[in-house]
Amino acid sequence: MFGQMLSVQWKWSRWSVLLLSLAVIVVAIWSISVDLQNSLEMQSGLAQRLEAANGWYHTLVWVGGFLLAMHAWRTDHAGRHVYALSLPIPRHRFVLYRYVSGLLFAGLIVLTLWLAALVATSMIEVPPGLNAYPTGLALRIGVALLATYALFFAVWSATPRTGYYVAGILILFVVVNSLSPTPVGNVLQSGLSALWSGLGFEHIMTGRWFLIDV
Amino acid sequence: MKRLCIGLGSLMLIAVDARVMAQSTESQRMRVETLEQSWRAMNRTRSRGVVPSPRATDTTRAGALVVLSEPELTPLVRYAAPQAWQLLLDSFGAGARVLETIDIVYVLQAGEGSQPGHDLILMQSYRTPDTQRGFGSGTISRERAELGRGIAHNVAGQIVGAVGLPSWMWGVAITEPRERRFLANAFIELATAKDSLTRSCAEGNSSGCQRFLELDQPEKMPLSDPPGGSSRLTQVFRHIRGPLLRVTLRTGGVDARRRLEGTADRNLGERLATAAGVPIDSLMTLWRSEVTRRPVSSVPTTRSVLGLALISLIVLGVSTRRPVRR
Repeated sequence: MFGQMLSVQWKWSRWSVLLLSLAVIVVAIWSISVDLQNSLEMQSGLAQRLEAANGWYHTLVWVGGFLLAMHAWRTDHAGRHVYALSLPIPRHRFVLYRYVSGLLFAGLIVLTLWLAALVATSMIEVPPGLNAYPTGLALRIGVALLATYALFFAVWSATPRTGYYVAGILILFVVVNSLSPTPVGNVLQSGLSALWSGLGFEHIMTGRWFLIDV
Repeated sequence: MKRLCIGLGSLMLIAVDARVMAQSTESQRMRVETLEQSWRAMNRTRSRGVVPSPRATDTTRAGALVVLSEPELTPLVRYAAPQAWQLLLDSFGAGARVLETIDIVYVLQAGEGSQPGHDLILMQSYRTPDTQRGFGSGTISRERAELGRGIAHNVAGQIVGAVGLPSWMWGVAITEPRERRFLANAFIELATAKDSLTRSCAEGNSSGCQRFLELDQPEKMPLSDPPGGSSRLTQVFRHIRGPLLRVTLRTGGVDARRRLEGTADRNLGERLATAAGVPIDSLMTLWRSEVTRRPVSSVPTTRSVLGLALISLIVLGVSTRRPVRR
């Protein structure tokens, strides 16, 4: 049963997975393709390139989490869950299969990134004093992708209307509180921040995702 | 008259503090006298319209940090001052106690017409043992989470000023993730520089670092471009040498200042090594470790993984319980 669901979900997700895999390969190679031999004074630009790639990785992690979760649920929503009801398995197992399938696709993207990072760093001579972190980078991005996937999976598992309500309320809260801070708003914002950092997401999402670093 | 009473009241609050009581009568008298003079100097400056009128009456003490504040700000200050002191200890170690050797008073108050969430004004007036008087003020955020950091940044400048190295006044920040990120980027610039001398420093060559950081010559103002340098290299240089003073104070402790004072005629490297009480090569190793300390662990923390596991379970639970539309 899991194999069949995986196969179906792969058909929905494959183009996103392939595009994201291609994107991480390009970013990984681009981030260190600097001519270190012909750098001008301090103008090698490696630090700036790595910093820019760091931003791209963050973007890809959020987009990737969103797309993988969307593909897991969108067709079910469109088909009014008839497919889910037609399967001879309880709902909790159905949800678990959907979730794990998405995780496997996320793992595929991370594996691609790891291989690309290994190949890219093996093709250049890492400057003395610095180190290459292909595995560390893949691991960190993998955990971050897992986090964003889990968050978006929860949102997409609800009806689209509920998802719009949740997103709308959050956006409204952030906008209103930034324009006119209130004690209640500040307390709520502090609570969200505490939850965010308390669960360790701060470490996951604000890390330094550099392929070559100190 | 009212302001004089408030000023004297604040001074009395400081004077009866346990730490001051522990000093000798003579040093206590001198400290109170100096604080009083500082306060008057601040009032004179205020009368010229430079800063708003001080209305501080409450005293908050955290380590060697003393902050006077208006009563309505006192709960905020009592929350932020220990955080600020902890940040200073993290950055300068025992060297942060150099604040105890200068007579300095900080006054925190709301800016004129300020609204909740707007900036506060932090004023400081101090007098060093060589009778030089200093005064400064700056705005810091009222945000509860930011206030401690804002105070620490201001006080860090005072600590640098107290050790008498004017060319370091700009560029020594407190240790925090954002600063670590800048430092790590600066080190990457260092390691990929075209100039071999600069690069050798990143490779761990102590002599290269001493030349790059201009430690083989007396301190000079203003800073020039370092060897093989460009304006960009100068920016990196200014940023990356800040941790050197931090590790010097951290290693040398509160006596670092005293040791530094007797070496004014020697080159900068010798002065800092003497202040730290370690050989210059060891100081270079400590500096390099400080600069290259990674901002965040390269692997996810246990809490992150546990948080993820928890959120995944919640997600699955919520998704499973959702009623299916029929």
